[in-house]
Amino acid sequence: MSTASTVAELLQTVPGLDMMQLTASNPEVSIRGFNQRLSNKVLVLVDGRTVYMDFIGSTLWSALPLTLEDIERIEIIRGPGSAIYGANAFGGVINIITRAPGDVSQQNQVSVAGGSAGLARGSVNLAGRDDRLAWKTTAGVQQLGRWSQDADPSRVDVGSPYGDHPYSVQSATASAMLQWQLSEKGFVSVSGGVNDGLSEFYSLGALRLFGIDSTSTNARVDLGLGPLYVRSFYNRFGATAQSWYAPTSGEVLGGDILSQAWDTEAQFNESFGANNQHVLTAGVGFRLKTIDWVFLTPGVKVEPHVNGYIQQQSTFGPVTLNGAIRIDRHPLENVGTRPTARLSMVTRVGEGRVIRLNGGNAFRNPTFLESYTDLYLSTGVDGVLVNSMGSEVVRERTDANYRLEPEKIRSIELGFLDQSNDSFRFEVAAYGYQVLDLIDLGSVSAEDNQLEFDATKGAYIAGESRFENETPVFWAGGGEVEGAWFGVPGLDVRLNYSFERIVSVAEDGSSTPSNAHPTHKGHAVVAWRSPWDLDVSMTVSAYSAQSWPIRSYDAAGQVAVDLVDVDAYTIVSNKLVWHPFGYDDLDLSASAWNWLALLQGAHTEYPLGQPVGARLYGGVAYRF
Amino acid sequence: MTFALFLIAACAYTPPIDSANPDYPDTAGLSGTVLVSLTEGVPGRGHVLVYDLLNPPPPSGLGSPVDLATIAPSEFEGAAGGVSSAPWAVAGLGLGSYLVTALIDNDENFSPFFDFAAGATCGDTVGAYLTDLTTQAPAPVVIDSLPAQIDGLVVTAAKTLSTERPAFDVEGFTLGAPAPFGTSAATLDRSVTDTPQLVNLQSRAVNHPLLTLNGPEAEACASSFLVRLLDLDQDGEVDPHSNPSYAALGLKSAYPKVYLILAADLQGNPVDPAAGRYVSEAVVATDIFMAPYGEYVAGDSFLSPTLPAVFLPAALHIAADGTETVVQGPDMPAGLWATVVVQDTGQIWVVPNDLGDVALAEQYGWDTEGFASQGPAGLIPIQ
Repeated sequence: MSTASTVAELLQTVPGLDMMQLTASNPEVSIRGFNQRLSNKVLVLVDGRTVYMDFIGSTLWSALPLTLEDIERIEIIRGPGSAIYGANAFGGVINIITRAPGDVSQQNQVSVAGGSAGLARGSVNLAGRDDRLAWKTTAGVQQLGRWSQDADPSRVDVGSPYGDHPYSVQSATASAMLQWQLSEKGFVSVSGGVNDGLSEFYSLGALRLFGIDSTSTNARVDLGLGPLYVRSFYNRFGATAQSWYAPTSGEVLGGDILSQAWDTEAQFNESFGANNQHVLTAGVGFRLKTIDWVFLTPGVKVEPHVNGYIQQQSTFGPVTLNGAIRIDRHPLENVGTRPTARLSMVTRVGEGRVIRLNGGNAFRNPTFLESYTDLYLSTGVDGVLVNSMGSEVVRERTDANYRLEPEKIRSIELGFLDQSNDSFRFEVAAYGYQVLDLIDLGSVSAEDNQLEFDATKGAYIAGESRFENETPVFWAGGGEVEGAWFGVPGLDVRLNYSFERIVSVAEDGSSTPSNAHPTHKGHAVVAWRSPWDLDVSMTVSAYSAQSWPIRSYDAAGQVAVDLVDVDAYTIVSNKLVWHPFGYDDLDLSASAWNWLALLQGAHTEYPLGQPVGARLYGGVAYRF
Repeated sequence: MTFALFLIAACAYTPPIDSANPDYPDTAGLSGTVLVSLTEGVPGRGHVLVYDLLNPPPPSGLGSPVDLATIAPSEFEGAAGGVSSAPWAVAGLGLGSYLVTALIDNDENFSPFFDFAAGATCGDTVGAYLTDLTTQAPAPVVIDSLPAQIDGLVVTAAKTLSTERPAFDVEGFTLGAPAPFGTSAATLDRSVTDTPQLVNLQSRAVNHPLLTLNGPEAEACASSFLVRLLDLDQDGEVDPHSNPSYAALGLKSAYPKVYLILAADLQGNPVDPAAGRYVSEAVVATDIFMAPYGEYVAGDSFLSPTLPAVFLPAALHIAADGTETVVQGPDMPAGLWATVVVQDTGQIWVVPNDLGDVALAEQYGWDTEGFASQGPAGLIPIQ
C-alpha cells in the first residue's frame, strides 16, 4: 500500500531516519542526523552484501540491482553498528532483504506503472522450487522525470553534456539467484545482478549537479554448512560522471570511474548451554578494494582490509546480554587497526514488553575520495583554480606528517517496546551521541610554492583545500516514539514522532547548535483493506525547518560558507488499490504522492535540491 | 520488457525550469582567439584580462580586471618569431561594457595573487580587443541582455614592452621650489594653496623571489620613470595640462600620471569603501625637468630616475553610487594617501603594496629587508 516509487522513499516514515530528496533519483539517507550530500554515515546492504560505495562513501540508490517488488522487508538498525557490521556502520545500518528464492508464500508477479513527472516502471519477479533447488529472477525498468531543470536548455551561456535530457533516472536492472539445499543445515547459493542506467546526483563542497552513466554488477556465492557460513561476493561499478551543467565558455568536469571490491567472510555460529542460552558467533573477513577514477591521483588505488569479530549473546532469565567486539585493519598507516565494541542488555519486563539499553562505538574510514583526491576546481575567476587534495596527496606533496583520522561516534540508547497487545504496539527510545573527527573539506590555504602558474592546468593555483578532521566535537541527543494500532481487522494505523538536537562544541568551549537537519519529524500512516475489494492508504510526513551551511569559492579563491534556510514542509500521499471482481491476484492502483505540491507548490528538502513536486500515477500488478 | 520499453518511449515529459536556482543565474560568456605577434621566440604564459569599461585599466584608469583567462605556453600554435594563436574564454559576466586586453608574460613573473606582481613588465607583450588595428583603439564588448554568449573575439597582442614598471619609493616632500630633491620629512598641507608642494619619487630596484626589476641604473629594462611630454595638438609645444586650473599654474600635460588615493585616516584606520574614493592628481613638474636637463622637444620621451610631482590641494570624490564631486583645500579629508604612478605604456606601480606587507612576508618566508618603504611607511600624510 506504499506510494513509494523508489527504495529510499520506502524509508520515509521510519522514525529517526532522514530521507532528503535532492533530485528524484538522488535521496540522501541518514539515521539520527548528520545527513549531507553524498551521505556517508549509513551502511546499506542488500541481503547482507554491502552496496555502500567505498570510493565516495555513499550509496547510489538509483543503481541498486533490485526492484521494489523484489523487496520482502527492510531491517534497520538505528545507531552505531561497527562492532557487528564493520567500518562505515556509523549512524546505522539498512539491510534490504529480498524475497527468498522458491519461497512458496510469495507469488510470481508482473507489474507496470506510469504517470506524471515522467514516472514509468515495470518489473517481472519470478521464483520457483524443484525439490532442493530454488531459484528466483527479477527484471525491471525504471524511469523518473527530473523535478526541475537548473537552467533553461535554450540558454546560450550554460550548456549540458546531457542536452535537455528530462529524466532523473532511466535504468534497467536484472538479478537472479539459485539456491541448492545440501542438507537440513547446509546450502549453497549463487546469485548476481546488474543495473545499467543514467541518473543525477549532487556532489560535495563547491561542486553541484552531476550526471552518472553507470553499470553496476555483482556476483555472489554463499555456503552454509551447519555452524559454518562462508560468503564471498564481487561488486563492480563502472561509470562516467560529468557535471550536468557547465558554462559554454568553460570545460565540463568529469571522467570515468571503475570501482571493484572482492569480499570474503567466514562466520562460525554455535549455541551452547542449557536451552541454548548462549550463542557465540565469530568471524573473519577480507576485502580487497580498487578504484581508478579521474578525480584521484593517477593509477589504480588498491586497499586490502581485514577484520575479525566475536559476538556473544547470553540469556539469563528475563535478561539477554549481547556483546560484540570487532577489529578492523585499514591499510593506510594513519588509520591502522580500529577496535569497536557494542554491548546491549534487553530485559523482559512482562509479556511482550522489553527494556533495552545499549551502547557502543563506531567509526567511518576515510574514503578513496578523502584519501586520494587531486582535483582542481574553478573559483570565481576563470584562470584561478583551487586544488582539492586528499590526505595521502597532502602527505606526499606538502606535509608528510599529515593524518586523517576516521570519524568516530560513541553512543548510548535506552528503549522500551510494548507488544503485549495483539492490536497495539508501542515503542519509545532516547539516545545520546558524541561524534568526533568529522571529515570535511577545509579552507583554502597556500604555501609559497603553491601560488604558481600550473602549465599542465593552464591556470594559477590559489591554494589547496584539504580533506581534514573538523575540530569541533558534536553532541547529539534525541528520541523517537512510535505507536501502531491494528484493532480493527484490515485497518492499520501507525504514528511516530522524532526529535533531535545537535550541538557542536569548539576547542575554546563555545557551542553552536547545528540546524542542518529537521529537529522535529512526524509521520502518520493509515492503511485500510476494505471488505469491498478496495484498499486505501494515506501517509502524512511533516518536517520542521532547517538551516544548512553551503560552501562555494569567492573570486579570491577563498571558501565562502553561507547559511541557507529550508522551510518546514509536509508530504501527503494517498493510494487506492482495487481488486476487480474480487480477484485478489490483480491490483489496479492509483497513487498520488506529495499531492500537496499541486496546491501549494513544490518544496525543497535541501538548499541546493530541486523543488520536489507531485506524482500522480496508476499501476497494474498481476500475481500468478 | 518490450511493453515496458513502450511505456518509457510513450512518456513525453519536460521538467519545469527552476528559475529561482541560485547556482545558474543568467550570465554572459566571452570567447575567442589571442593572436600574439613576436619578432623572436614563442609566447610565454597568456592572460586575457577583462575590465569593466566604467573602471578601465591604466593608462585610462586604475581599474582591476573583473575576470581573467589564462593560456599555457603549450596551447599557442604558431612558429617562433611570428604569429601564434590560442583560444581563450571567460564566463560568468554580468550586464555592462567590457574592455578585453591581453598580457603575454614572456618572463614568467606575473602573479594575480600579489599586487606588486600583477602587471606587465619589460619584455612582456600586450594588446587588446581592438576596434581598428590602425588606431589601436580598444573596442568595448557590450553585453546588454542576459544570458549572452559572444564568441569570435580576436585579441591582438603585438606590442612587446621595452620599458620596465616604474617601481619607486616616496622620498619626501618639499615645500617650495626649486629644490625638488629635498629629503625633509614632513607632511603635505591641504590648506597651503599659494605655494607648490612637491612629492618626490625615486626609482628603485626590486629583488624579490617573485619579481626582479633592475633599477634605474640598468642598461636595459631600467625601472625608471618613462617621462613623455605630450604634444597632442602637434604645434611643437608641450601641451598645457588638460585641467584649466592646473594649466593656469603653468603645469603641462605629461606622463607618467601620478595619483594620490586616500587609504586611511591619520590614525591608520582604513577607508570605508562605502564612503567612496578620494583621488588627487599630482602633476609631473615638467619645468623642473626642462631646467636641469636641458630643453626637451615636445612629444619626446626619456627615462628619469626621479619624478617630482606637484601636489595641489584638490581631489575628486567618487561616491559609492558613482557621483563625482571636486573637493578643495580644507574640504579634502586629512589622512594617509597611497601613490600610484601610471605610465602611458599602461605599466603602473603603487605604494604601498604587498612587498611591504610584513605579515605576508612572514607567511611566505620572504626577506623584508629593503621593502619597508613599500609598506605603510610609504603612505603620504596629508594634513
